[in-house]
Amino acid sequence: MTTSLETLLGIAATGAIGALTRHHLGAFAHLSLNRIAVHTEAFPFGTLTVNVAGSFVLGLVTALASAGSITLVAASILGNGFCGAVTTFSTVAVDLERMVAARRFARAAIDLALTVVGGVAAAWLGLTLAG
Amino acid sequence: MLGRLAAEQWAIRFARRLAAVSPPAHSVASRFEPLLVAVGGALGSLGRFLVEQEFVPFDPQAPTFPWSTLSVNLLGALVLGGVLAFAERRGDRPAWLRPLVGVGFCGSFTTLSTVSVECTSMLAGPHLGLAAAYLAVSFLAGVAMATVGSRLVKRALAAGGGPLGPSGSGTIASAAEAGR
Repeated sequence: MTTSLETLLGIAATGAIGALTRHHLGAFAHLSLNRIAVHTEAFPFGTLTVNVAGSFVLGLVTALASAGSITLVAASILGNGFCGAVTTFSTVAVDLERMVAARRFARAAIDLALTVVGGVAAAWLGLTLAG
Repeated sequence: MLGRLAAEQWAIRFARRLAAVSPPAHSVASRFEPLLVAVGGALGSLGRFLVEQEFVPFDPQAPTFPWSTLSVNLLGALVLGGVLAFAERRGDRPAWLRPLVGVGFCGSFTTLSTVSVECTSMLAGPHLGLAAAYLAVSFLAGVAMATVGSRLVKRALAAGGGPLGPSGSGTIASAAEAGR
């Protein structure tokens, strides 16, 4: 199967929007949630927020595509572009690495658990709501 | 020999003075930061899509181990570990490195939403062992890759970092960077 130019351009465009959304929404969520959090030490709430939100949107997109509500091209553009870019794995990996290096194991375990459970639950919710 | 050393010392002092008067790293970067993040994000998303095309597509009805997602995530974690180590050691210089390659490219090249949706299909299977193995491998290897990227860059910078270190040709440049 050859990929259309439309798909590639769409992935690039929504990928750019996704990266900007992650950067700005992430920074906003990071500041807001750390302000109301009990601990004085910053927790990576920004990354967590965009990852959970993006997982929810990808769940929606996947379910809408399999129900035929949106085309496969649209699903590929939104899924591979926006959702893929708005969420990130590399930042989580680096955050965890730093927590482990600083011997903050409980913190690392909480970040990992919130990311995995939050992401899977959000994806499931998106799939269920649109399915 | 003495002349060369004196010249080198002078060059180091000159480079340090130059670094002291040059504008702070954030002035130019912050104006172009959204553009750098967007361009990196576009390239990262396209890169991920093209890499994933090389693998067998994930079938939600019959989930298999998602090697494609794992590959981009581990590669991105390696690069981001290196990029952040470099940026931190060099006082965020070059200023475009973190927004373009770190936030934009690595952030978009790697993905968590796909991991979440893949795990949801595995759990619905139910293929609990597969989901557990996928998550364990992703995060353990992801952390390991970030460590490797960071250590490689720190080692490379340290090797050429001393003011009169063993690597003769890189000496002046490294000292100038260290003075910043």
